[in-house]
Amino acid sequence: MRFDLTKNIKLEPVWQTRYIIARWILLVVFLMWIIYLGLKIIFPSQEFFYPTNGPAGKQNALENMARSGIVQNFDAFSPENFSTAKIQVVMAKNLTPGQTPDVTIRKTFKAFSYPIATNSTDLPSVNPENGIFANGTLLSFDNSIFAIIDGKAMPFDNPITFLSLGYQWNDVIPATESEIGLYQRDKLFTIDRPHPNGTVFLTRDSHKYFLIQNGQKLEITNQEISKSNPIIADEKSLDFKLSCKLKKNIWPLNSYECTIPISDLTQFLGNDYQFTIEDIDVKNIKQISLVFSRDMEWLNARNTLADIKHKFLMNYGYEAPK
Amino acid sequence: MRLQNNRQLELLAYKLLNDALMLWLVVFFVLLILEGTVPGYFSAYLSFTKMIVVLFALLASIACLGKRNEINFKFTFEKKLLKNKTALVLFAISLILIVNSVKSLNIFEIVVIFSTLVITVFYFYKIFTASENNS
Repeated sequence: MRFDLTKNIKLEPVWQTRYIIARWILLVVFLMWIIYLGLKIIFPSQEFFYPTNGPAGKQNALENMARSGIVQNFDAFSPENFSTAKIQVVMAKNLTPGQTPDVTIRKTFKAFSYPIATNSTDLPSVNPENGIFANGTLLSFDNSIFAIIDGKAMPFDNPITFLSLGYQWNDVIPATESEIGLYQRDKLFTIDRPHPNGTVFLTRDSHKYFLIQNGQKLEITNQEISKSNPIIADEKSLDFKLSCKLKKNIWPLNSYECTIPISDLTQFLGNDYQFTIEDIDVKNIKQISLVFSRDMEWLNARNTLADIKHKFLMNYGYEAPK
Repeated sequence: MRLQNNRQLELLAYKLLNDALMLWLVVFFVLLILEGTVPGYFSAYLSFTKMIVVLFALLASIACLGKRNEINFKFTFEKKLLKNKTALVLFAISLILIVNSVKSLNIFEIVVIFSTLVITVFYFYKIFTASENNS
């Protein structure tokens, strides 16, 4: 290496040799760090935790944790597809010998996994009534998109959240200042929020329509509702589950771990990875961590590079958001 | 002998830290340009704040070792700026970052920003060349 920033500082011959060797080692370490960084970007992983530390950890929080019983349910919200999910559970004390709790995972939309309603309620309209929009309507105003939920306008935190919920840009109704002013502004609509009341799901595998109402899913045949830009979902996604058995780890103490290959879940639409750990004392759980990762395959690399290219072109106005 | 070895070791560390600083700066500038072209993509995987902290730690270590070993760095302003390769590279990187950051502004704002920039650069040039001439 001829390039020398400190030519004026002369070392003794022995030390000069050592310097040249150390310099090569430094260069190799740097190159390895750059390769590691590149792999981290091209094959990104995503981590989730329970419990998390403060509001900063909110986006990496496992949601909807059960607080008691012997079945632990939790959700991890992500717009991405992954190859594997590694789950680690740290217990306050060891499980009884021979106890190997099952971890199952499925992928769907949170609201689509609501139980099916048994009785019909008043069906909402998507058309404005006396200047008030129906629940679940999407309005755009001043570079923001709002979901109308229970008389409040909730702005989406970013386009990724909007798209990950299955919404389409042409579902959005442009609103005037006076129309949007009728609603009180609410907190941000984040990726971990379920679709609001009034949302209609259409299953692409069984061609059924479902209306979301008060934490329930109502199958409908109403033609007017069916026309209202439904969210596409997969009915099969509710029954398609993958699983693994938790096995004891050497470290940390009282920890159990297993890995599930989840490439098969990419066929389903949804942003909600729903986990269930069965046969485990929920109150005994101290900590859960989840790592979603991608295999080092050309297909995954190509997807990431295509995503970078799309974001690059979008940044300079050559492509619209997908 | 031991003192001599210690000095040689510190000089070696000083030279290595300078090399590390150079590599760090190159990576930092490349990442800044990439982040400018695809905002939010790369910063999701690495912390620019931590990179700046490491940058300052390297600079502090270099300054500390330089002072201990009485390595004086005399600042001389290169009058033939455009003949200096390092200055040319820095100028090109700065230009890319500036052009990228003003791309979404309207022409009037760009004119105001560039006029201010040219005036500021000229002002600093005059200050440095004046201090050179006085010394």
